[in-house]
Amino acid sequence: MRLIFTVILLIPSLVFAQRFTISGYVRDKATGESLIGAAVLNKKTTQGTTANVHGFYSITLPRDSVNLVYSYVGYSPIQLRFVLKRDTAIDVSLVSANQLDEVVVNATKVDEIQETTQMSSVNIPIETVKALPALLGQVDLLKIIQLMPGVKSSEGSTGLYVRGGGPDQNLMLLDGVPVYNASHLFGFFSVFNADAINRVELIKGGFPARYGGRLSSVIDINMKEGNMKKLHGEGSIDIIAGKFTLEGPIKKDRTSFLVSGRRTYIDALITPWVQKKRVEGRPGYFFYDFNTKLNHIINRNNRIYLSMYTGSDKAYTIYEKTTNQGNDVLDKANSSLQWGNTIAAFRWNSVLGPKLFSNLTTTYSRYNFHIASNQSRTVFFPDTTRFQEFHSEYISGIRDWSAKLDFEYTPAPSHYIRFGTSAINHRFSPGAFTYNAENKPDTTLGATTIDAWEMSAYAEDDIRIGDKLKVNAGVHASAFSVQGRNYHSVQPRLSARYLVNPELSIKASYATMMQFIHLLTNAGLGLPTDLWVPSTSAIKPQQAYQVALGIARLYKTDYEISVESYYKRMTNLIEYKEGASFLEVRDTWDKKVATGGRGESYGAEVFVQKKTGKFTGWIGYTLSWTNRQFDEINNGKWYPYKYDRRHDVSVAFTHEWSKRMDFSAAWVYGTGNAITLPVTQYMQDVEGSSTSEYMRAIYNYGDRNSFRMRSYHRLDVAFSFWTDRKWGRSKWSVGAYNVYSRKNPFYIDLITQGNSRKFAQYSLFPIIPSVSWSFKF
Amino acid sequence: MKRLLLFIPIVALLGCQKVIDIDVPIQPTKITANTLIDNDVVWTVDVSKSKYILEAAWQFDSVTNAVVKITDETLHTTLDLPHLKNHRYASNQKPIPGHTYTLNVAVDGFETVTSTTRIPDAIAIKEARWDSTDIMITPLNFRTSVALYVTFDDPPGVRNNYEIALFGRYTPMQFPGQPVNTDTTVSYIQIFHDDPEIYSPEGSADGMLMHRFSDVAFDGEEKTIKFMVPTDNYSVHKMILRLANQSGDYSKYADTRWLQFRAQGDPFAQPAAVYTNINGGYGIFAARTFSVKSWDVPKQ
Repeated sequence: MRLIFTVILLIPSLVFAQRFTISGYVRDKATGESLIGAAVLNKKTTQGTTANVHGFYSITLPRDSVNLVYSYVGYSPIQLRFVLKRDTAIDVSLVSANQLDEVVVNATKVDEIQETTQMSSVNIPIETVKALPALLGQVDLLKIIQLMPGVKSSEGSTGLYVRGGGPDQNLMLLDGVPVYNASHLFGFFSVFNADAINRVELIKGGFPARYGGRLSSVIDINMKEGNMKKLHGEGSIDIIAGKFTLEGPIKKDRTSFLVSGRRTYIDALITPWVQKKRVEGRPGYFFYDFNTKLNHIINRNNRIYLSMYTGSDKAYTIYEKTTNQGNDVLDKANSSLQWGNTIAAFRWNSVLGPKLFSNLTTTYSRYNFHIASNQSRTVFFPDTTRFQEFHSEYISGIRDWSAKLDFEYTPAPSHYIRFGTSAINHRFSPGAFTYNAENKPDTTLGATTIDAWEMSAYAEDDIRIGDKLKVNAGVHASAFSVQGRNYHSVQPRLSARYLVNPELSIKASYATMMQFIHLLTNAGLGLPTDLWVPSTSAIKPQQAYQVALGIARLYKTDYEISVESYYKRMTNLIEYKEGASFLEVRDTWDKKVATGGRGESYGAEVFVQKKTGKFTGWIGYTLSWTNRQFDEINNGKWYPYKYDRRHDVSVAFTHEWSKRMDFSAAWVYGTGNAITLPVTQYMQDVEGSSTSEYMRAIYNYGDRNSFRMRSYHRLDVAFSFWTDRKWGRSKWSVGAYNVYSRKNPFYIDLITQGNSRKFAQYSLFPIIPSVSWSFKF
Repeated sequence: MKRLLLFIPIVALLGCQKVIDIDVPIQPTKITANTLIDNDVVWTVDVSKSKYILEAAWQFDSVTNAVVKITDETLHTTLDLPHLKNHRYASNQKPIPGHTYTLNVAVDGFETVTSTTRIPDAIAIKEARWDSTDIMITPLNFRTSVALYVTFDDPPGVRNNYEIALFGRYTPMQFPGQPVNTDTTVSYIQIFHDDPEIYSPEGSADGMLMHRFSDVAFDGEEKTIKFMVPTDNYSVHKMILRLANQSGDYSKYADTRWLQFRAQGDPFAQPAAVYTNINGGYGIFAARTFSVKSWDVPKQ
């Protein structure tokens, strides 16, 4: 093994004689933050590379004079000219345009949309995320991702349906750690606090081999590393929550920290109302999250990170009442619903040589869902007191330990090789119900935990073949072992781009994916009852392949335009059976689902994005079809998936009028969701009573999802007003969600009005104004 | 739990209702024939017509001119069921367990509807034993229950679907100054169990009044189930334990009908189609067969 590894490393050195490597880090000069994806281009030969997610770059060039340009969107580029005579280490710090006056900042060629082999991906600048309008003023990363073409959502929810896939088919990585439930407030907000985030990338297809485990998308989120230069803070207060982030050096240019917290105060706000109304049961709700990160540079070649996230939601009611039933009786009833994630990651970056970079990651991820109910009655007799109590709780969740080792090897500008391996130990707890009472011991039902191992290995190479063609070829191999059953797969991945001219390229990709874990989820809201379950002998791993073809064009250096078409085929899907409801907690998960489903999705997407300048934003359009087939559903016939939307449009932009004021708006339009409605009714008999005259109608439904809700559209706007303070800057933001108060359909029911029946549509959000105050120093 | 989960969406939904028009194509009217027959009652068939979904549901058009026949496929005899009243057609004969029957309903202007079912065999209650030493006191309301063990033999090799219920025969309360009432009434008595082999959400859906289950977990074996029976049925003077063997059609219909009922009004539930075995129309033709054990309850 060691011999093979050595030979692999030596081959390029033999082939590319008289070449030297320039390597180092590209960082923000003011904060020391890594500039992920920064471009490094030798203008003399037009050969280039990009910085990886840790800001490291490596480029190998012939012995000659070089003219290196380091650039990054929103930053002033730096140009270095020198004669390359030996391997050279150069760390570069770029200056943000915000710190300069009237500097024209442009990205250079290497990271432009038409240059990369990666297709079906979007990088969303975090400043854009923060600038766009937000529901109740809560800036939300996933809500912005929902505005991208190919991504669909339901009203208010943070659930994502990418290119016809389900919400379980998205790999959400926070600093490389999977997040299993990204919902706060029943799915209306996500767990990602934008103030703690540095970068987010959405990949919808053409998956590089380094990603695996989900069918439909990767949402790769990197937290900020923590300011290495000086103390920096920011925070905000809005209608429902407050948040604060602090980052800075522990030892300048050596060790930094970041802490960020957010908490809602809905519970505090409703308490006076509850007291005024004298509500017997006091309800409450809150959520919080807390991010922290430590970043330490051991030496130039070694760096470690320790990051952690913990967050939780809790909804509860507290009831207490004394009555007199001959004797005084005190009744107490408390119930709570709590869910949350805890994740932690330790990463060790190591530069093993000018061409070889490694990253060792160990992670922990846990998602817990917990319902508890406690009821007690105390009866005060004249001579004694009698107390009885009943306690029940339901717990479910998933816990992962994982270790991952990744290498990046750049033997020459025409090759960028990545390879690595990982192992994950999953522990599934699909639900345990425990109860006790005074006269019975503790009883636990359904407490079986399931352990599973998921292993993977990958290798990929980004290969430049001549001036026009660039190919990313790779393979991802994975295996899953659960309850004595083993599954494995080899998933080839291929992406290619052909440069038609410097501004235009044609791209194509093919990817197969396999997913060993399933999420039982409701169709609409992101509720915490979502349950992760493993593949079993009865429920096989989900599989998919996707092909995509498209063009990418840079127009007038500011506008990125992509047009893509795709076809995706999925197998072994699961779906709720007819009549199953996620609200029905008496059913066990495996009894609610139909298995062995098939799915297909195809369509076209157009995306025009402007990332720089005073006016930034995008227009997206999707034309798509997505269908499902299960033997147990719809008589085995294919039917449209609930989120089959023929047309989907999003327009989002921000405009900076001046240094003190900016305006942002987002408008979305989507074809109505596919729904199933009854078409006929007939008289039923009543079970066990053939002589009864009692009647109730039975509904005969049409084909599954054969009707459409009305189309969905809304406009959100926000104005922001900045003020310079002695200590920093502050901002007032006022905005409105659903400005023209469109009654968008959420649910349709059959109601009776007099002698006729009608369909009634229920909506969630009318116009919702928001105001927030934020600051940074 | 359910209320807690629904808290947010319900608050948000309040006041956001809007009546809308959806173009649901009118479906052709079909004949509905309903017969859920027990082995101890005479044949009855309810015949009606289906309706467009947006018509008020409370009444269905009766069909009084139908020709309703039931053929005993085992004895090769056919029974005509004359119209009784409203939707109902009835005979004075009872079904015979173990026999297969075919229903045929012909109505002028409509497709003739047919269906076939088998009357299941009776499964005897082998033992019904009370254990007065095994009691449970329900928290909060201090209700006391006592154990009742029910045993029967499940026939091997066939899928049997069971239904167990306990009934009490009551004498109505006597009030001073009123005539003595010697009538008695029969009502369900709630019974509880925590036997996972017979648990199914559909089967325990009727507030513990009856429990339906299949023999998947104990095919061909002797099965004993422990029920807890509340002891506060003060005016009961006789208890009747009933074990029903349901035909497969009966069970599917009961399960799916319950699923549809449960899904109505739940925005998160998948719609459920109700099982029908009526060819050319709608409805159900299915049966169940009882075995019964009863005992007198001493006056308390």
